[in-house]
Amino acid sequence: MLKVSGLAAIAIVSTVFIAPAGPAAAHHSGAVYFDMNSQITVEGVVDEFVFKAPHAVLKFIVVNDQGEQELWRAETLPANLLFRRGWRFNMFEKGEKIKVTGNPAKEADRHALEVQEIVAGDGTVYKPFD
Amino acid sequence: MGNLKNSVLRGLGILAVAGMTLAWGTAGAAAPRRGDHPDFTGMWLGGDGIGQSTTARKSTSWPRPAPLTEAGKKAFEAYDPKTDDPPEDCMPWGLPRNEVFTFYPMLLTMTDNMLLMTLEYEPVPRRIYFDGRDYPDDIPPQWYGYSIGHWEGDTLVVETRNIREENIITTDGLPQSDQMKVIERYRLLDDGNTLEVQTTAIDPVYYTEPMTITVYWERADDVEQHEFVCAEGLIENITTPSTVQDKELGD
Repeated sequence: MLKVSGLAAIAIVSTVFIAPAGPAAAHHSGAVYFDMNSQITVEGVVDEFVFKAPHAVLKFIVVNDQGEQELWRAETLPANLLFRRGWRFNMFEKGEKIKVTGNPAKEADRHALEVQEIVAGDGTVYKPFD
Repeated sequence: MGNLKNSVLRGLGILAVAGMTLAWGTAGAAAPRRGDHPDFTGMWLGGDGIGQSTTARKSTSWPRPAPLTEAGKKAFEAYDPKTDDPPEDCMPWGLPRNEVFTFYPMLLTMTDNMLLMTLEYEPVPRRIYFDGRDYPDDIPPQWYGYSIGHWEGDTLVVETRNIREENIITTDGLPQSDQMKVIERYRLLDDGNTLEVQTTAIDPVYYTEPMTITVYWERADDVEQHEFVCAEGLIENITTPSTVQDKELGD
């Protein structure tokens, strides 16, 4: 199932039905843009962590099954709320390997997800809703 | 010896100040006042940012199902969050939608005749006047309307009119019309450590009866507010990430 390229691990996509934590405090309800009834896990390397309003977004590069690079977006709570939950603007480094689990975009061709969990390169687990 | 004595005295002085500080919030401590009225000045917070209240007292929600008129039902059903939700374009959240956003710190600054409300997520502060003025008739509708208050004992009662009708009351699209008035009642509880805000929305166009919620905030003077520049999010394409097209890799 796992295919490794020179750059990064491939996206592992598994769909499961879960009871996700909702982004009650976010700019918009996650259910508008994301399928809150399923989750996927995607591995890649960090491109940029935009720690701003109205949503913090972790942009990361994934290599797909065809060996092509894809730019993915992991959306989460606004930076202001995350800051008070211990997150910082410099917690991810460009090029760092990460694994993101979350709810996929409803528009299937969009490479985006609502974050439920990020595993950083050093193994630290960040969960915005815990 | 003299130095030691001075140090001890200084230490006692610090302890005394610390004791006075600790006295805030303990039983019997007086709530802060400004002139004849309570002083709401300070930082307030009531939620953890992921949907949970952090206050000892339990806030209420807008009534469900909402008492919608026929016109209200039609507007509610027609609501599309992708196109009809003003903050998606970085417009303000506005009144009364802001009332449940207790998970962002709220800075209140009270003067002798005005309450200035600085909400972390809004670009401009909200102003509530209680200097005896009347509602102006030459100002266009505002996201927070025009707010005038008066004191009923230690409760500040605020009536807001002239609110933008294109806004919504709740994230799922409860509508509001240009006829809506909002009545808020602010008072301190728990020796000044809790702020109670009771809000009633009166909108005869969309609702058959007034709707009321009561929300609690806790004093949080150790919490800071930071910038929240939504407009920058538009430029960074982080307002609706699943629908925007990113630059191609390598651009």
